[in-house]
This record gives sequence, C-alpha cells and structure tokens, in this order.
Amino acid sequence: MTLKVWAKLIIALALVTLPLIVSNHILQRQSLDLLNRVHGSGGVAPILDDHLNLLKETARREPSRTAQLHSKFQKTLDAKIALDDLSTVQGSIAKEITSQSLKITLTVLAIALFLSLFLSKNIVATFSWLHRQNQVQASRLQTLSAIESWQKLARMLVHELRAPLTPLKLVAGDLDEKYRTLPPKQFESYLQEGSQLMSEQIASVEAMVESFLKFAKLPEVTKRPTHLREFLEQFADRYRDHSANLSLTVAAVDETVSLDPELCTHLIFNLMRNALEANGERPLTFTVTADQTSSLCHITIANNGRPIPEDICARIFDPYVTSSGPTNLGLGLTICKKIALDHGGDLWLKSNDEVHGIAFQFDLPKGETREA
Amino acid sequence: MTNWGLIVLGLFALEAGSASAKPDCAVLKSAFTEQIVPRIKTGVPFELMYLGSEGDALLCRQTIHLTYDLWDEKVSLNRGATQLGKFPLPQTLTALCGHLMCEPSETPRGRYRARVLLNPLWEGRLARFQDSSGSGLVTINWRKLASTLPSEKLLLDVEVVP
Repeated sequence: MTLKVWAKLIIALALVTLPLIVSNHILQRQSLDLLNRVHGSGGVAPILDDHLNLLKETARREPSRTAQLHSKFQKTLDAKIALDDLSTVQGSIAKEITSQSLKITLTVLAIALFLSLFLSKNIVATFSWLHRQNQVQASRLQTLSAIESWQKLARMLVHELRAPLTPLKLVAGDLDEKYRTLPPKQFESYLQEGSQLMSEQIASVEAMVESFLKFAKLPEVTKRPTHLREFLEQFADRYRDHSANLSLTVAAVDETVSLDPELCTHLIFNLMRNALEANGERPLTFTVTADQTSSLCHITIANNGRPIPEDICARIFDPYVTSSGPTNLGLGLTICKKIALDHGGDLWLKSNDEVHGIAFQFDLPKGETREA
Repeated sequence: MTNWGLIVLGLFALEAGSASAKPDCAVLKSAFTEQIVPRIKTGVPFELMYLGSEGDALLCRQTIHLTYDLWDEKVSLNRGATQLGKFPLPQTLTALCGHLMCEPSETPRGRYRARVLLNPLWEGRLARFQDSSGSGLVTINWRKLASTLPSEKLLLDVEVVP
C-alpha cells in the first residue's frame, strides 16, 4: 500500500476512534459526578448515618422491636458500606471502563480492518477471475467472428464468381459443337456474341477483384493540418458537376483539423455515390455541413433520398451489406468506417427519425493539427 | 504523627528491652488512637496488613479485617472467613497486636523492618459485586480491581531488633 493509502486509513481510524474515546470520557465524568453527588457530604451518606443512629435509639427505647429494627439497621449498614466501597474504587472503575472500551474499540477496528482486507482481496480475486473469463470469451468471440467473416467472404465469392462463370462455361462448352454443326457465317456470328459475353463477364470479375483489392489494400492514413471549410469547398467544386441530378451545398466552420484529404474526400464521395446509386434517376440535394464541439468536429453528409430500410440500418457498416442491387459488393461503407476510425473519429448513420432523407455524421477529433 | 516520628517511637520502645522478635504493641498505640479508631467508628470494614521485611525479602505477612458492629459497638477481628474475636473498642488494641503482628518464620540476621498498612478494601469483599451470570459483554472484574488498589495509608514503619 502507498503512503497516501496508509494516511487515509489512519485518518479513517482516527475519525472512528475519536468519537468513541470522547463519548467514553464524557460518560465516565458523568457517572463519577453522579457517584460523588450521592456519596458527598450533602448526599446520601450523612442521611444513612442519621438513620442508623435513629434505629439504634429507637431500639433502646422500644426493646420489643429490637429484632425488627436490628434487621433494618443491618440493611442500612450494608447500603452504607456498599456506597463507601464504590466510592473507594470509583477511580479504578473509571480506569477499568477506559481500558475495556479501548479493548473493544481496538477489537472492533481490527475485525473491521481484517474483514475489509479479506473482502477487498476476495473482490479483487473475483474481478480478476471475471476479467480472465471476459478475455477468454472475447477471444472465443473474436475467433468465431473471424471464422464467420471468412465464411461470409467464401459465400460471397462463390456467389459473385458463379454468376459470370455460368455463361462462360456455357459458351465454352458449346463452342466445339457449334464449330462442327453451324455453317461458317453463323458460327462467326455466334463467336462474336460469345466473345462479347465472355468479355462482359470477365469485366465483371475484374470489377469484383478491384473492389476486393481496394478493401484489402486501403492506404495508410497520412494526416496533415487542413482547414475544414476550404477542404469542403474544394470538394464541392470538384464534385458539384459529377452528376446531372446532383445539387451540392457546403457550410462549414473555420477550424483547422488534422486529416488525410485524399481519404476523407474518398469517404464523402463514397457516401454521395452510394446515395446516387440507390436513388437511380431521382434528383438529390446534398448538404455537407461542419460544426464543432469542444473536442470534435462534426461533418454531416445529408441528402433527401429514400430512407435506408430499418433492417439494414443496424448493420450498414458490415461488409457485403447493400441495398443497391447485385452489382454492389457492399464494401464501400465498411471502407468509409475504417477511414473514420483510422482518423481517431467515427462514422455513423443518423436515425431516420432525426432527418428527412439520409444523413451520415463523420466525427473528427480536434486539437491534433501537427502533421502526422 | 509523621512516619519518622513513629520510627523513632518504635526504636525507643524496642530499646526498652523487649526480647521478642515482634515489635512492642505500644508502637501501634498512637496510630490506633488517631487513625484506626475513627476509621472503625464509621462502621465500614477495612483491612490492616502487617509486613515484616529484611531488605527485599519478605519475612512475614499478616492481614486482619476489622468490622465494627455499630449495633452492639464491638469490633470484630477476622482473618478470611474466620472470626478471631469480638472486642469492645478499648480492648481492641491489645487483641489487634496479638493477631496482627507476626513473628518472622526465619530468624532475621539483624534489624528488620515492620510496617502496618491500611487497605480500604480487599478481594473477598468486593467479590460480592461480581456479576455471577457473566453474560455481559463488558464486565468489571471486582476481584482484580481490589487486588490492584493501592494501600490507603502507612500506619507504622519501624525497625525491629530481635
């Protein structure tokens, strides 16, 4: 235990002991005062002496009552003696009470100390056990989660590869037969169609490989001090004409934050592109606003598109979760989340009740403006 | 009378030619008259203790409990549960000397010291306050208390030449 803990312990013991000692002292004083009042010159003792003399005198005058008076005399004398005895030992009684109460106080404190040490030891042991169990469980869950992710990836790959493989297999399988059975003109036409189909499917596979590659090889975050309003205005200038059905406005605070402009551009653009893909030809109005609290800058990327279904909202940042059709692998938002977390911030979807349309909030920590 | 006075008186009495190893009863007379009698008359029992010692060695030790019966005005001398006798106040000094002052069991080599102490209480007397049930958390040990009480007075301190 440290010196500070010992000091606290001693203060606590003093706080417990002091009232006991003071109250004990007061009680002793009061009981001794009471005894003195009873036994003192103006107290009971002279009255008892008078009473004894009176009994004796009465017995002399009335011999017939001697036995009765003698009995009373003895009782009074016993009382007088007892009072005298108590008066003689009152100092010792006070000492005895102090000694005994001190013993009791120390015993109680020792028991309390022992119990608290014993209990705290047990509590610490229990917490350690719980912590170990928690670690074991966390490790199990991590392993299970990793296995589940691999299974999910395998299912996804099978699904994505099977789609282009089937037409490729059909074309390749028929090629030999068509070559033997079809006249050259028709075979040439068939070959052209088949070749185009194969090219399309190969392009689809390449696009898929590209997506996985992006996910697998996300570049390292390279943060540098960036003026937030300037950054967002540059983004708006760059992407305002990206699509015919897009309207983009920016409103931001004058705050310099540490971020990777390339990856943050990618994050915001990805959110915008997802919304455009999900809403088809429907015209969308985007607003990118940035405000701040004491420790964070909040960039809100909102649009007036169709709300995301409730069942998808809860797992929207999980890989392979998408609502925009079979061509999308559902890795974009996972990548966005990773970029936000790598910046020491977070990305989250605002509740449908809070906004009209869809709004994501990208939180960035403030106060870290040195170049990374 | 001071203790020194008693000592001188004691030595004077001894020089008078007593051959006994016990001090002469006369040495106790003054203390008896001035201190023991008023104490007896209160009716509260007390103990007188006689100690004969040579250096640090205790040669003899005797205790007498004095109880004055205020009813018939007689002094009762007791040793433990044994009553040694009941005496009118004027004859008490002689009886007391006889029972209180003991002769050393071992012959002292030279002068030895004789003391008489007045103890207000003794173990057996306070025992009547002892709670026999013993159920209380905090109990006063009356016997122990009595044994630790100091003597109230030194009534006599003389050197005896056997």
